[in-house]
Amino acid sequence: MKLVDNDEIIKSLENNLTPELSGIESEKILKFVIFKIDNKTYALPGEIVQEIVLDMPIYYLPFVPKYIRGLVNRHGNPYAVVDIKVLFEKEELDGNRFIIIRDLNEKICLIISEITKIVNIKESQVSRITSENEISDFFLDSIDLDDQEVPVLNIYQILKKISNDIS
Amino acid sequence: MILANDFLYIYYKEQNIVINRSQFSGSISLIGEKKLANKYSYFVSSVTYNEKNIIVFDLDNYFSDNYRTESVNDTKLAIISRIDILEKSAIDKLYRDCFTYNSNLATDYIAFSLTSNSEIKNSPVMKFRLLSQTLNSHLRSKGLLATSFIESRIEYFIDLNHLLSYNLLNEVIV
Repeated sequence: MKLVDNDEIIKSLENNLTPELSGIESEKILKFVIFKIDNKTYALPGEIVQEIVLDMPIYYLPFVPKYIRGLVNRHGNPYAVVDIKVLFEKEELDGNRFIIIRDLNEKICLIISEITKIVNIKESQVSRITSENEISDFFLDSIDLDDQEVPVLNIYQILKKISNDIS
Repeated sequence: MILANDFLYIYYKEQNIVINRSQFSGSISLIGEKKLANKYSYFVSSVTYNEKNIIVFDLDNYFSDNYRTESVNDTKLAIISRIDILEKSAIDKLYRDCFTYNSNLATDYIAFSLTSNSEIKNSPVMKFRLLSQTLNSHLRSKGLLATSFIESRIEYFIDLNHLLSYNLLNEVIV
């Protein structure tokens, strides 16, 4: 049997990526997933949440920043686990729930404490975050929910940070 | 479309390392290793292969340090690769830093020592999955190409060229 080299194998794996939903479509009524990391509440746009799973083992991944805790296995696919608590507070989260992010090429998930609820919010209830500090860079918007301002996490800013930190 | 290929599976306590069979030409039992003095942490010995004295890269210790593997037995073997699996700049460095100071070393082969708890088997290529796009090229440059999962274990699909070239060119000292 003819052996193939690794470049050909990687080309095959890349060609096998199947198209999925991509991009974020804006809606007049916006869905958000509200979740907690310890006692802090955050939100994610509903359309980028693929699924929520719990109790998955985290496998070690070398050569990555500390806020990437490792990999989880979701239907045979490796998802990099991002720990927001490490990013903001330099401490690991003792959590067992994961939000799998919907993206064709970026297989990442967030480790969280719990899901609070899923809400539909009018676009007018979403406001831009204007304060400028290192942490607010990771939030694009905030939503007005039960008289509380809940920051909406910007996943793509997190991906940008990862890219900067490993380059 | 590539359907299947031969791979070397190296079985550690909680994970497997997988290497493409095309990356090495043979294997030997690791008997009669001779210590080698040089500045690279993982090039610590040499071994005789086909009457030649071949430099040995301690892949077992490398995986232990970087992938947190734990061997399940003490017996070792070495897989033998032609030196041209490496990038030219890495070969030049090896010549400069190792072969120049150890003139009895053959310069056409490299051995990789690893646990003998291993086997070659034919596997479907599509069992491997690429990592997140943001991480992919970074990890690939260090030798990690893809992963797969089997039961409760993770399998790391490793490229020896990138692994070794990265080590040589970045002078990783543990």
